[in-house]
Amino acid sequence: MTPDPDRSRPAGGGLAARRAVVRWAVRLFRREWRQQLLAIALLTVAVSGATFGLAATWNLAASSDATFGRADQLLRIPGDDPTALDGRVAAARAWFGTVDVIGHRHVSVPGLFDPVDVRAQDPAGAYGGPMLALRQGRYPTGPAEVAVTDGVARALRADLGGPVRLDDTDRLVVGVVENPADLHDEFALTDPAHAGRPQSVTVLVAGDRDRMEAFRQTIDGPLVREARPTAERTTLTIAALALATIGLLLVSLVAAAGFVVLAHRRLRQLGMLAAMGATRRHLRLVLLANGAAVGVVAALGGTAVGIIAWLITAGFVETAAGHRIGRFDLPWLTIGAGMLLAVATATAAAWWPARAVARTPIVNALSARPPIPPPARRTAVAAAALLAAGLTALVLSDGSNPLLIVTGSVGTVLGVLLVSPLTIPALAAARGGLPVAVRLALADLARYRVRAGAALAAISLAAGLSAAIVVGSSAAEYRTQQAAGLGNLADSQLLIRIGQPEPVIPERTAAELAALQAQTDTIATTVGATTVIPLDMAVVASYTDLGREGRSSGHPAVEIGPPAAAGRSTTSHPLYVVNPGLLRLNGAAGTAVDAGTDVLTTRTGELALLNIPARGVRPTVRALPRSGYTGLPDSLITPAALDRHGWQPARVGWFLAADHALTDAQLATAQDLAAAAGLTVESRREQSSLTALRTGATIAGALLALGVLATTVGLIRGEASADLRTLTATGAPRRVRRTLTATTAGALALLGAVLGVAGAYLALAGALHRDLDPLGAVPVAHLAAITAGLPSLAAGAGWLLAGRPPPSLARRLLD
Amino acid sequence: MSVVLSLRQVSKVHGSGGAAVHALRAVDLDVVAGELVAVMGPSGSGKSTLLTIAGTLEEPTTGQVTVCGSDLSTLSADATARLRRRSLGFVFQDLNLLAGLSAVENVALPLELDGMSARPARAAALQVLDELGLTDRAGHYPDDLSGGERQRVAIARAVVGERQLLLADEPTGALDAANGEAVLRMLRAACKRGIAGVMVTHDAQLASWADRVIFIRDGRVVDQTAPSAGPEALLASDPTP
Amino acid sequence: MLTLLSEAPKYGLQLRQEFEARTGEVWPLNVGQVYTTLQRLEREGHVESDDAGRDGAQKRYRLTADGERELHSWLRTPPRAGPPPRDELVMKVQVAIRLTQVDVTEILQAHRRRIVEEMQRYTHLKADAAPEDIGLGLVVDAELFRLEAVVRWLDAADARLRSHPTRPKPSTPAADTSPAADAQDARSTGRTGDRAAGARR
Repeated sequence: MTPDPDRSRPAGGGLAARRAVVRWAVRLFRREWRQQLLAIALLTVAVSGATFGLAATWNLAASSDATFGRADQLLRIPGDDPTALDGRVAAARAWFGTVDVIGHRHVSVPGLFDPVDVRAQDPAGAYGGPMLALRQGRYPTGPAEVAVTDGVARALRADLGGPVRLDDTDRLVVGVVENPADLHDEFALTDPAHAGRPQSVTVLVAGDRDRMEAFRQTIDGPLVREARPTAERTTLTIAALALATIGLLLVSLVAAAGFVVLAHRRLRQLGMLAAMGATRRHLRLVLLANGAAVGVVAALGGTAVGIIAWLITAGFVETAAGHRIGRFDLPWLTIGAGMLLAVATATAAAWWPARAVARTPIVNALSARPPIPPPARRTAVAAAALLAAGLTALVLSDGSNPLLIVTGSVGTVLGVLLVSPLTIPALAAARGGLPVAVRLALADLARYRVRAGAALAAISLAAGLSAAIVVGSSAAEYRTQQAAGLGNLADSQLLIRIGQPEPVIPERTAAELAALQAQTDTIATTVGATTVIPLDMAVVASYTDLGREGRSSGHPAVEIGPPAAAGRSTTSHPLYVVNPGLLRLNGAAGTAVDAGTDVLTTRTGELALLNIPARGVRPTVRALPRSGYTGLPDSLITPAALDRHGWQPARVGWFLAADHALTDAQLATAQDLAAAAGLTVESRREQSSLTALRTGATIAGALLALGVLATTVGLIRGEASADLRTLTATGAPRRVRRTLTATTAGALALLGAVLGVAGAYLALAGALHRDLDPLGAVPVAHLAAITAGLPSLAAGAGWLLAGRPPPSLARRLLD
Repeated sequence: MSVVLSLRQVSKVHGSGGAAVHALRAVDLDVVAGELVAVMGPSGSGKSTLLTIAGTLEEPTTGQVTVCGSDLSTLSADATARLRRRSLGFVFQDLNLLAGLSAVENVALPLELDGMSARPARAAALQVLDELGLTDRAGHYPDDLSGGERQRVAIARAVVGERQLLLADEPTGALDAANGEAVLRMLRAACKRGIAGVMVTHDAQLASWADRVIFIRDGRVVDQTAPSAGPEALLASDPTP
Repeated sequence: MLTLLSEAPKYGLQLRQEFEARTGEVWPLNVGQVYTTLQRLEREGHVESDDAGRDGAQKRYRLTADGERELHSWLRTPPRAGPPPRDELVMKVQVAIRLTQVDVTEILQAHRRRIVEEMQRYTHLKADAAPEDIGLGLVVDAELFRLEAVVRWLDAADARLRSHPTRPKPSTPAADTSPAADAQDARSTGRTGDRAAGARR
């Protein structure tokens, strides 16, 4: 005997033992990763989804870089008093050190409603970098050069290299620039060294709020300052990560079921390891290491796929996002956290089977006798309890409390996942009277209940998620349609407003109005409008509203909306003066309006006249039939009401209707004409339908479910290959083999789809229990694709692919 | 000679009540260092149970088991695990080696489990493989080894380090005569170097390699061979030259 | 012969017929052999005839106490080495089945132990010899396989007896309480060991 082995070596084997055990686990994983494809694939999909989602939320969220660049704070200093301005800028520079000064001049351009923001900004400024990028040409130098954004170039009809007259100066356009953080930011850029007096100045500075407040104390008079909003996109990204966590947790539940199967398969080898003197901790470590390995592979693969998907799609989303997207500007830390999370959840998923294996008596393990599975009744009770708890939470949430929604969804999903394995024996029990091959396939499913249950849970999850998106989006669309109707206008209609559609109506002379009327007639001719209805609003002539900054003053126009509660804002809608054309438009042609009625409207509920000096004026209302369009002038005020209140009608625009859908070319011309005349044109806005989303969800869910199915069916048929050989030996034709595979795949898919859809409906019904109407709008096509299409596709694929026996049999049977 | 394994009135009952199966009934057995004992009996006679109980893989229902001086009933689960990796070696009928580890890694594993770092463990394993004439197979994986080689590697793993008790369950079960003989020569040689060996079999040829054969039937030790008479007696009386 | 007599006193001719019937008529036996044997047994005191005055054909023989002992020890004597002795063993077991006084399983075990002991000697001879000694290996293997076949036959007989007991188990408590069984084992071990050694000398 050596002197004292106890002292020379650690009791539990220490690090060396753990390293040896982990080495073996990793080798096994490398050898047998194919058997864990189900878990790996699911986790990979989850991680890639999470990565893509994180990248998208990070980049799509509007960034405060658009106004702050790299700075933390900004000062807006008016330029009315040049001396004060210079003093403030100098003080800021003295206080903060480095500052970036951007001068603004708002220059009005003939024929253009909005003035052009002429910016004097140094492209090499300390903080303004992210706000400025050159698309073409070069940055302006000297007083005679300018660079413009594409929008300004269009408005000024200026070309690169061409002259432009701006701010009473002729300049040469030397470059096309943009604000990469906000592509809708339109401006003209001049050389700050040769810029004129700015009307206002933005000073970008670094430093926290306290430093800014300290600076504020040193300044006399008002100081407009803004702090960069606290990392709003970080918040969004964290929220996305939280969502991803829930997804990962759900997926790792399915993975846990897969690990149970794996543990069973390795039971004999684990028994051998125990016979060699491994402790229970070591046995657990083998499976935990395997779980971690699955997690690492899924995290790396998933992140790679997610990032590649992002890089491919990033270009397309730029326009939608309204700002340039740096493809590689990704929340790397958060993505890293997501990867760690994937590894952690996969490892956690392996915990339960690891514990079960460590507790199996070694002799049982050596003879590969698995631990007795928990009785079905207990699982059923747990499933029922989880379902009930989840649904209760959803009902309590009322579809608005995020915490309860998350808890409820997780509970419901868990419940459905636990229920799914229990349905397999039921399916197998109902097999009497079917052909022998079908009976055999169903019996096999029941035999490999654990594995089939894991797969079924995964399929239910995939089908359930896509069903939830399909049903949920259709419910949401139903709701928006209830609210928004058919859209703003029909595609044959145009609404022309004088100036901007604002409730302050400037006084216009008869000559001005005649000119605008002529312009409108031109537009009507151009687009082929058959109907032109003048639009008047009631204005409070006795009261003059000062226009907002840069706008002319005028009289307030009477509007309508739900009465405002104290201290709360309300939504108001325009109110037009009744004329025969408008009555016809609202389906009330020739209606005699009695003198007592103030307002005819399609709106319901409590209504008040708004935007008037008086408060709480409740009109006498007469209902109009709903048209379904939101942009139509559908709230009308009677001349009698005008008389009663002493209001005056004022022309605000025209309503045009053609007998055909307006073409893009016609609309463009109309808009050009209108812009030139200071008119604003409203036409049909394309309504974003969620059908594409539903189709996408259906396809993605079906693909995921099919992937899971393929793996499972392959595994189960691999296990049952001995039966297949016996069958072949007894003269069963190839058709039997095909039927077997097709039945297995079809049955799993059918069960999974039904469970998934049922679960999705249950959850949504719980969340929307107050108003179940939206769920009445069943997206039949998509749900049919899930419940019928998925099983048929699975069965069909199984039938086609089962021509040959699985090739990897010999290998599998060896271990 | 020191007693390495000692069983006193060991009984094992599987199940209970009417379904109770008496795998072992009041078995007494002593195995001393350097001795190879074969336990022979038909299937279902309880011989495998005897081996698993002696190997600390299972606890007896009643009776006392002492392995290398430790009374098993007094040891914790971790302590028996340590006893297994330090003093015991198992050789089963087949599937002895862990897939995914090479021969030398398989042999080194018990040492590493016991806390020896990878390099010295590997060296010790290589030395044992060398002694058993398996040097050229050290880097091979179980899939690439023949059945006989696998069993020999398994024996190497069972004797590596300072083992005192080697337990074998039908160690030549799936092997042909020549390979089986090589495995048994190795087992015998290991015992000659001072390890106590217990081998369970139903095969008389296999059992005859042992110094002592215990006959077991229905969970009882019913008989045993006389202490080895030595080959000289055979030569003296053998009528065939 | 002694076995036949142990059942009941019999006439010489009767003995010959019964012997042939029980051994499956593979070993024909003439009347002369029967009587020579009987006379030898009588001389040795294992049997006695009830009527000494009459002619051999009419004599009725019965077993003496000494003869019974001889019978028991004969049953336990291993078959001679050399040419396959299995027939002798088969015969012994066949005979033992009929005896109420003996436990057949125990007899089978006694043979099994003896043969395994012999195999051990051969195996150890082989094990201690150099693997290159092919000549020795061949001879030893031949013996081992022959002996192993006997053990296998014993195992098969054991299993056969176990599944189809030919008669109720002997009323001795040997198989039911272990101390008694152990005691019996010890006795039989000692005795046969001595005899085997004697036979070899």
